[in-house]
Amino acid sequence: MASVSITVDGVRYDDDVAPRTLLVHHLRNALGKVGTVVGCDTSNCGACTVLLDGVSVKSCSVLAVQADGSEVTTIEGLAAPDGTLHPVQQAFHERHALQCGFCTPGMILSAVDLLRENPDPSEVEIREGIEGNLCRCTGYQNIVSAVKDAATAMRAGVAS
Amino acid sequence: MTIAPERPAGSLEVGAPRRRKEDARLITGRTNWTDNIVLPGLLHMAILRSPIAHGRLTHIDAARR
Repeated sequence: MASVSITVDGVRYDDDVAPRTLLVHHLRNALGKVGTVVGCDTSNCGACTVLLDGVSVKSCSVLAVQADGSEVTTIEGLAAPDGTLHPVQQAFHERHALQCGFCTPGMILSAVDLLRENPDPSEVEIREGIEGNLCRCTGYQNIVSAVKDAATAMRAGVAS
Repeated sequence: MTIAPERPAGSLEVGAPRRRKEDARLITGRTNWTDNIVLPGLLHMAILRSPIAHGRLTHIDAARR
């Protein structure tokens, strides 16, 4: 077993984990952070995407021990403590960018990292930015629209 | 010929976009997916597929894991 200390959505968790434990399994099974879903277990779908020290990672492709000492943001911790949605969450709702919603946590967190790198992406750049995330409801058109809207809202927020 | 659905006067629903009420839990990670449910005595199942395309199962060695 290995000792890990990971801050998840602002709360620090100290645990002993088997060295082979994947971050997503640690989040879901040990910490009960089941907002992060497992879509494929093979790094294809991106549903399990979280932010590791602000950078998007597929948490099925990261070992829990690799996150030792880091901060993880999941979909559960993205909104403000008072419940105010993150602009990307708000835009997904307003643009109808989800149907069943299973890919949505990963889509939203990938989009957050994309907009951190590129606050004003073109449609092509958005599509490239979220290409690691699959949606089986085929709702990509509205997802791209939502990311575009969120980018506009976030730039306006920074300017004001 | 153009077919354009007319929005009936006074209608709040027909022809108007509608925000989904289920989005709130889906975009904040609060949906209770089947995979999230843990019940007392919950068992897990895994399917072990045969490496042989056509054969006869003669015995199962349950001691091997």
